[in-house]
Amino acid sequence: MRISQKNVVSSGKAYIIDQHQSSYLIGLFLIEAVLFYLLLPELLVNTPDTNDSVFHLSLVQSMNEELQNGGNLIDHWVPYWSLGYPVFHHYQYFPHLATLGANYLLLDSVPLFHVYHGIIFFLLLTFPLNLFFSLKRLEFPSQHAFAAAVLSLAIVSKDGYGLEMSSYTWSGFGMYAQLWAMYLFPITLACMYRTVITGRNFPLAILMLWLLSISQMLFGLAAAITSVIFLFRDLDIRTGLKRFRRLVIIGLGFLACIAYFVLPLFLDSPYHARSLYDSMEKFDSYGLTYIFSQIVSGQLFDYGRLPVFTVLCVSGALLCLPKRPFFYRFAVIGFVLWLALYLGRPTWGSLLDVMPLSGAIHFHRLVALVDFFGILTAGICLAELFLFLKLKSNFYIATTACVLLLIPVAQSMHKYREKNDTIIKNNIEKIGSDNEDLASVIQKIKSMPDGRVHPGRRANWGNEFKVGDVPVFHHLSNAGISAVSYLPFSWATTADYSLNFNEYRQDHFDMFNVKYLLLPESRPAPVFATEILKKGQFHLYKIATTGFFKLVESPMALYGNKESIWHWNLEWLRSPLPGEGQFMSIYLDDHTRSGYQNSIFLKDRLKFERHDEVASEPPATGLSGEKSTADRLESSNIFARDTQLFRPNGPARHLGELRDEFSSKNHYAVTAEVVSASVLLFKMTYHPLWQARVNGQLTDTMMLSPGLTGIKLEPGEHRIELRYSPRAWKMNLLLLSLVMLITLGLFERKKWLP
Amino acid sequence: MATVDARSAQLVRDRYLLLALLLVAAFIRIFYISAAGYERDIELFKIWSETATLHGITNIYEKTWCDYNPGFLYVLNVIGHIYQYFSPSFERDTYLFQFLIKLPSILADLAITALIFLQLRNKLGSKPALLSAAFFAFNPAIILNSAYWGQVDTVPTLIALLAIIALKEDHFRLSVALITTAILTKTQMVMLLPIILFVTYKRRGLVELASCLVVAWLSYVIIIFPFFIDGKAHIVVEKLLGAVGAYPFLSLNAYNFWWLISGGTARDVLDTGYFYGLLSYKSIGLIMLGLLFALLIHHLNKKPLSEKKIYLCCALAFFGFFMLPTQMHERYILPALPFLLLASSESKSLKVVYALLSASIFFNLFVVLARTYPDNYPGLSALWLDSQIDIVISVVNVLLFSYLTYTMGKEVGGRQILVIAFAMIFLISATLVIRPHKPVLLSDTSPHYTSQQWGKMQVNKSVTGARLSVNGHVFRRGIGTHANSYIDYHIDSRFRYLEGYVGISYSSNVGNKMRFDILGDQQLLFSTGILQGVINPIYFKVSVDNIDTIRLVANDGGDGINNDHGNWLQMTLIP
Repeated sequence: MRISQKNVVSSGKAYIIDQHQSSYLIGLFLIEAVLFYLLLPELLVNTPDTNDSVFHLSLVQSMNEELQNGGNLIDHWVPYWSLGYPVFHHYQYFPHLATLGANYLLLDSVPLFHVYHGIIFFLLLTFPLNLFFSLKRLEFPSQHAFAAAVLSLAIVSKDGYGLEMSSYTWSGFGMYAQLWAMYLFPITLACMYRTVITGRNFPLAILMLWLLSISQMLFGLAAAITSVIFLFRDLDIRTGLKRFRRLVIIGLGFLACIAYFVLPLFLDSPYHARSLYDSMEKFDSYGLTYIFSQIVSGQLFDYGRLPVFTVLCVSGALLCLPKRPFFYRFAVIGFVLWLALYLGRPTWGSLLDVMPLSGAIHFHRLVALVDFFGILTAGICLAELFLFLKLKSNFYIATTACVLLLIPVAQSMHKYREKNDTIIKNNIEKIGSDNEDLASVIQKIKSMPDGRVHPGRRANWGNEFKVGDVPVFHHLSNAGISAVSYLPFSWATTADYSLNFNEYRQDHFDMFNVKYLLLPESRPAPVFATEILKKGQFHLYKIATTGFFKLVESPMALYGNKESIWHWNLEWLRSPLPGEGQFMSIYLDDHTRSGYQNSIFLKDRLKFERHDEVASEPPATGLSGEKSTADRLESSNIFARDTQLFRPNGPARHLGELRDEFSSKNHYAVTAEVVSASVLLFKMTYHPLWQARVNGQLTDTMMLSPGLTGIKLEPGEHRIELRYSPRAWKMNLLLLSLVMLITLGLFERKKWLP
Repeated sequence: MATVDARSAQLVRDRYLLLALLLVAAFIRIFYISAAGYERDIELFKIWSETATLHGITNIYEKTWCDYNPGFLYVLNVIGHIYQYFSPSFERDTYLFQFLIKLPSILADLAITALIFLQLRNKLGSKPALLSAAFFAFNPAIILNSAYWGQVDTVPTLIALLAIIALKEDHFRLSVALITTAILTKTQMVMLLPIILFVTYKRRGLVELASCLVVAWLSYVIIIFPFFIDGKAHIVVEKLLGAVGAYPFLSLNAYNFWWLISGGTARDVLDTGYFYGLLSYKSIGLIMLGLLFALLIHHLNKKPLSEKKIYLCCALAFFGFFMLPTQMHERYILPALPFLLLASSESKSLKVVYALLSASIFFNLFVVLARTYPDNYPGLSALWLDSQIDIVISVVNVLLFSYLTYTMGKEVGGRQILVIAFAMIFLISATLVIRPHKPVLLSDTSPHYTSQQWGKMQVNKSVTGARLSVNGHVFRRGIGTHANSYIDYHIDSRFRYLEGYVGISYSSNVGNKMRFDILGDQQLLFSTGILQGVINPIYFKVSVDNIDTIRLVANDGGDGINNDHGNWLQMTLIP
């Protein structure tokens, strides 16, 4: 099998045409066969997930429910975790939408679980093919593209999160959104490249960038930044300017398309929290010393095996440096650029702030981009080695040498396959009769009044409370049951506080409407719990709560931002105040509200100023700048020894009665007979898109500690309804985006674009 | 015909002369084999040799404390295997073991002597070449270091010299492979890498430079391949990277610029401290080294790129490495000697510099030896221990370095020198003028001393590596430590207040007692008293006006240190 190439100049552009394209197709077929074998356990998996796949699959199910109920697929309330959160309002949704679409294409004949895992299998299996053809469109010669395809899933790292099998498989991390982004990334780059070079197919390039971004924003941003390299294809200013204009059109078109998603994201950013429990490295990455040592010790690309990929990747990057053809420059600039950014804040400090969205980016996840360009440089090195050996000997010796070189890679992948397979099988063996018992418990919970369940947390006994190897809280998520337990994300303002839920305090059960407690046989129940079902190792208890609503008082206001309220909320949560029905009103980035007996203005997370109203003053007067309150101004620190955080309150008052509670996913209602002015606590995460109606009249909602929702009520009987209502203009903008794409296509046909 | 015969006869004579020179040099060195030398170094080499032999070279970093690069450990491994044949129980105090340990550096001395002769013979003729070789072979500093002290600096120096010779002969890839080997034997050989890469680029362009980088990378992988096989390559990398900062003092007995300006106290002054203003001594040293390299590269860039120029640049690179950065050992200047000798072949003034530098190195080494092991040199105590000879040596070194830099600078041109001098003045003025005006997080700066009885001090993490948390209150910034611990910061009287929070970490056992104190120039500024159990962080704000050094103390509260994890949180220095 001999492969030769010739350069052909066609219409002023250089193309590389392979005379024996079929040879590569045979090679790709062989790769597919090997991958099919390696990934087969993933296709045949028949046991609940135990990683982020729980989250993603539940989101697909949530989307499915919306579809069946005529709801909004891409912006609805997801109540399962963190006391509820509109996940898709802040999180990319295309992978889930595509999965749901595949399910419908299969006429719902295959369980969603298998559709989901089938897609993982398919995307991983065909990624080398995708990469090969995408790189060909990026003007990589066939042997270089082929070599990159061979190495496309060869990375094994110590810390994970990169473009490696363990990021996606059952026994790995379940990073479904990144899998889609990884798949779409080379296609998007190829489309953008062709458009920038030829001035054709603008709508396709924009559409791909859009789909990539709503698969994972980070990759969308990465594609946009990477595309700047295309301008350096030819160092000719006239051509460069023309390409720059094309790139600007793609950029503007993309911004217009993504506006419906990004604008609400910015508007509601105060309600998108950054957890204090997240490690610094997650946002800031690891810095030069750590990452450099990871690379040169083989731990970034070849963990637990000989550093074959590392040697190829670094050598490839160095070999690319002096070479003229564009694909070399593209690979090495991309590699160096993303490696430099991956170093993160420990190396670059505040310089990174100039990067768009840098405050929200998890810089440690840039490892995926380093991996992508590492695959390219490693592929280039392998191809160059092959060509060198072929020149010195013949095709067969060159091929044999390259195959021998890759044996450690193949061995490690085979080992991983066996590990994945063994873990899945072990899990199935361990399940025994537990699965049926748990199914009965879940059935029971679903038949009872709506309320959350507590099956333990990852940080306590909950992590050992399992069916097979899968914690019970994952099973509950899979079954669509809301729980105060496992947190697949920490963006809800209540997320960190739900982790401080105290299972020995009845008032905490009530505050979070945790109506059910699911315990293993060995664990004693608190005295206030009543057993309602015992099945195998599972003991289900009921706790008395007031449901999703409660009448409370809020004499105190906290003015700060999503970062500064943390310690105050935690102290409040640990105080007796939740049980006494005394909640803090929380105003994020808003100091204009008034009417509180005492107000805390947070200067940062630890320092504050307190304004106490004089008792004789009418309660509804303004706070700042008034003489009556200025006299009582105190500056202090939350942990100062003499600080008294909460003023003593009188005995709890009877505020009224609640009845006729209604609850569904996006809609909750209750009737309140209020005897004294109070606040209706809605035990759901606060979000400005909760629309409240009191007796049919739109009413303001507010945030109550530690991040729940409240509505002020006057004495009397009221019917209160709350609906999660996305902004109408969001969908209009989405439609406009589609119109814009079509218009751009027409412009292109008319040759009005550069 | 007669000319050819005469030439052959000359070559034979040369060989005999060289052999005689080497035999005499070897004899002198063998005479010193039994000398105790620097006992700690020799003892460590014996331990590493034994450990590498018995446990395998890849396990050496885990089995024993070792801060040397794997290149030299391979040599010790060979020595260990040879010695094991004669003494399976690895008896330490034998002449044979001492001989084997000192043998590599003695052989390296002789090999360098031969190389100097061979390099200079064609250019200068036999007699001057032999004389130059003799200058090296009988250099008291070299003999003292290799045969007496027992150090191995000439082993990587030999490899580095081979690398430069290969470079001179246009064998660029071989040169890079050799310098990589030298670096993996002793890290300071990295000083020649920029020179080799620049000369490669200058002579052959970017393509060859890229190929050389690939060769360097592959050489690195091949040399530490056994570590890759055993999955321990990361330990080697940690050792290589850990070389910087392992001993954070102004000077480690190198009588250099820092020794001079500290008045001989450089060994006790941490280089993380500030030189009047904002920049630490360490940063200033590195910037000065960077400026020197800028000058060297500029010098190499000027035509013609002569042999002498390359040798002089190599010598200055090592000399500069010894003189300018902090944390230098006394021996780090030795690699400069063969290069200076080769560069001085046609220059009387450089020969004088070589002689003076040899003398200063000899005295530097000898004073260190005498001061470290005074019992071994009873008659010299008054002369070596109590006098200001170290300052005199520092002055000589500074003068020699200034002269060499001036000699090179003269060729480069006055304007460039002026620019560099201006940059230096600006740098120092800036550090004098600029004062901090914003609060500084203590966790963003480096302590100049830490000690704790369990684990390692962590920045922005608790001592266990988990998030910083006290009674469930999580902080992003701070210092995680373990009792009993002392953490010192040099704040140079530049701040008015220290504000922060402290408490027992959430990861401690419930009920543990701890006590936290803050000392300013050894006076108690703040104390929590005994803390016990799960309590909130304690807030403090103390005045640190006119205080040079603050010490954070975390002690057990009288119930032992077991599980006493303490967190200093959001520690902020306010100007």
